[in-house]
Amino acid sequence: MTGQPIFDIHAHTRCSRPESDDEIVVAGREAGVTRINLLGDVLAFGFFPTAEQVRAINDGTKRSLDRYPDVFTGFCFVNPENPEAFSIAEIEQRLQEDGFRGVKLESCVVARDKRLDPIMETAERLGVPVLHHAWYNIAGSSGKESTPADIADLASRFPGVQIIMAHLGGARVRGVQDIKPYPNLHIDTSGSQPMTELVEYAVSELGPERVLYGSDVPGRDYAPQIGRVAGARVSDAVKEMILYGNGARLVGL
Amino acid sequence: MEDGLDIIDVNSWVGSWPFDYHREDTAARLDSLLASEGISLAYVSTPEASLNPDYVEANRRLIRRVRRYDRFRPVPVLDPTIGGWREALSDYCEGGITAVRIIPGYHDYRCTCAEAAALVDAVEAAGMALIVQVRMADERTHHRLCQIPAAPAGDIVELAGRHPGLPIVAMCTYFHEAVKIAASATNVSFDISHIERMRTLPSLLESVPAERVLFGSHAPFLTLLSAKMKLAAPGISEADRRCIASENARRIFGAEERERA
Repeated sequence: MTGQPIFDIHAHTRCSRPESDDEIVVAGREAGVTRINLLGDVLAFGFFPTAEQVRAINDGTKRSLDRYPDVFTGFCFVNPENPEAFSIAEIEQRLQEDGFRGVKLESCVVARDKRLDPIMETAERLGVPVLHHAWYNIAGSSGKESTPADIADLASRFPGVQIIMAHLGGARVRGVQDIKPYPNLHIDTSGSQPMTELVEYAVSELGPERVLYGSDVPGRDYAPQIGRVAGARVSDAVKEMILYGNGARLVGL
Repeated sequence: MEDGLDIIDVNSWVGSWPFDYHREDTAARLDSLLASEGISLAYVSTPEASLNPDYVEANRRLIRRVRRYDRFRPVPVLDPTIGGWREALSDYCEGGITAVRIIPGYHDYRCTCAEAAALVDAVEAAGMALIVQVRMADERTHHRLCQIPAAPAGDIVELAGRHPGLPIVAMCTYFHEAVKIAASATNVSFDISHIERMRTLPSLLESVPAERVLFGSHAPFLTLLSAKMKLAAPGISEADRRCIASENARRIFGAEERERA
């Protein structure tokens, strides 16, 4: 649609539905999305999955990677509530043996929780990024949802880890300001409707290299989520960075 | 998508909004944006009428602002809980306006209440279409001290059932709300601004007939290009795309008429 390569840093396939791999690949192809980063079916078992359930979620991502290795990259999902040894072993196995390229954290604990520390230390040791859910949600959070201020705290504790905070649409102006002081903290453009002005604001405040395109499919759609970037009043060079270059650099494509 | 597809935007706004800055908050800038995106007509209200109790003055200012632009069709906002709407409705009808909008959440009533019923009766008698603004913005993103509920889908079903001959457009519904309403009410249509799921339109048309889906951008709150890209995406017939792009709007709002209120 935009005539350039597009890398979606934020997508989910369904671990119980292999056909969801095909659906996302087809929808992405229709929209001109060339590479898709899978974060796992992180809510398949609710907000607080057991170790066994975490493994099932990552098995689902592995299945997707095996089926479409030229399209998908994947992050390893962990729940910091689970035993530390399990989480570290899971990350090491998925990254070193299964080809995963990063770590995904959702809403199992807030990002200030010290149980994240061994996970972050593992990501730092392996040199991979961490993508963390966040939202300023005044309608009531589900699970133990982190705010952008919580993610900023995490970034300050681990300046050597590249962190991608999900959901510019949930962070908005306050969230962008929260993360601005931390150069290791990036933001993806997903979240809510394609609100105007936000991409421009994030680029202006964070610099274009810290903004990454993300869709959050299949709950969202490629076309309107690409449109929020393609329709932003930033240069074509900046759009290229957001839509592909920044994500590709962090994930190591 | 066919080249030169005629697109009518049934959901756009001119005016300021206290919670966000919008570059295209004037008629001139919105007109320029719409022109650049190939939108031939736009049904436009002012967001100022959602919070200011003097909605009649807000509508008057809107009509004055858009009058010199052929692209715009003003859609006044009415509040049935504050007097003055009968006279205003009569004036709008005489001025050739073909649709009015209600915003139950921001005006703090249910569209099933007695005051709303009186207004809707009058709208139907006037031969106009009724827009029900379900939301202005994602409820999760509201100001903490200004949390405005969405109009419940069940209320719109009930309203539609009481007025089966009245064309109603439920604006800014989510996917699941549109599917729920469509299953029970045949006289309600939906704009696409807030309807989203992977492969949005092919998915939506599995549950909602194309004749009841309208192109609406919710600009300048939302990115106009996003709505256009939804419309342009593969997976629906060109006939359905034309319905959604403009034909349904012409049928429901009588877009051939040039209102000069």
